[in-house]
Amino acid sequence: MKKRLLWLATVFLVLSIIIAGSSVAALGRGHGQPENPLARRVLQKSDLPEDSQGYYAEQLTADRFPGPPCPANIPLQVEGFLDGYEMNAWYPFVLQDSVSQGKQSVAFVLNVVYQYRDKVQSATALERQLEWFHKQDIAMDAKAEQAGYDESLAAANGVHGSAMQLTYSQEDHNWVTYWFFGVEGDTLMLLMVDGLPDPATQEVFDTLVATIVQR
Amino acid sequence: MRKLKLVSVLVLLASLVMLMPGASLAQPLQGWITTTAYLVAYSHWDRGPHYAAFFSGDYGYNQHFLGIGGDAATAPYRGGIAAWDWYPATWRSRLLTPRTWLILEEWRGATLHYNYQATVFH
Repeated sequence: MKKRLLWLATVFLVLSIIIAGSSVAALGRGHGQPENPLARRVLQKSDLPEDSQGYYAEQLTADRFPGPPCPANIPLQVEGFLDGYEMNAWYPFVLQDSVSQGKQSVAFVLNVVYQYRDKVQSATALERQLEWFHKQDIAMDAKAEQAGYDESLAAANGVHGSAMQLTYSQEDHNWVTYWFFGVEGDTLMLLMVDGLPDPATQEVFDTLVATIVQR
Repeated sequence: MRKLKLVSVLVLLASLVMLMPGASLAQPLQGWITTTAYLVAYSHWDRGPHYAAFFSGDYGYNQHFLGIGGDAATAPYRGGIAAWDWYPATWRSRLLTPRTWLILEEWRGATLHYNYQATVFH
């Protein structure tokens, strides 16, 4: 009887060690996965004001931007696309125009980084994005025009690209969407800032372009 | 002495159960659940940007706003939350949220994902 109990206890001990070992190994795999290098290329939570809301970042999936072609999903269709990472958040600011001066508002911020096999493919993706603005598959009253950005800062950091501003009405209001498209080697970056047409919305855009080109 | 051995065996058994990974004990859930969105963000472009509350599940219905003012606060916006469309039409996993609602009523918590509740098939 004594021996049987001892044998039983030994069996349980060995089993426990095996299971504990596999649990630790599984945990190790979960935490030890190498971080996607693109995750550091998108805007981080620390790049935004403390009271910004809904910061969310993840690896880009093929079905993230369904529907008709748009600057965010065109790069996914370009040959040589390898991987992508996105972040988005709601950026708070105070309106500056004369009518609503001093009122709190938010702009939506989307930043996506797309990686390609080589720089030719990333440049092709940029061209296709810019071509989209010349097609009339956007709001009927939309006005697309070049937007300014700090080109010398971008160039100093090896980024070349273009910025666009789209103004239009939707839901009985006027809106503005700013886009920045930049290429750095095999990487294409997109920044979208969407909100009310107000100088403060453009300031948000300028601030964030400066941040992503230096990243 | 016999009791001591019995206790040792029981302790070993208990540790065995405790060390089992939780995932192996949990059964995968499938069925209708009432849950909150995990994201409120840009969804897609269709003659302008469209925003949505994203749910982890499909065939969404019975949607509610849990922020300041509740469902009633959404009434002026496209017929109120009960009338808002789901996207894509086949999967109904994204509740389309009017942009004016999100930006003008942000103070109600309109941009916070956990303020949108719906029933989805998970």
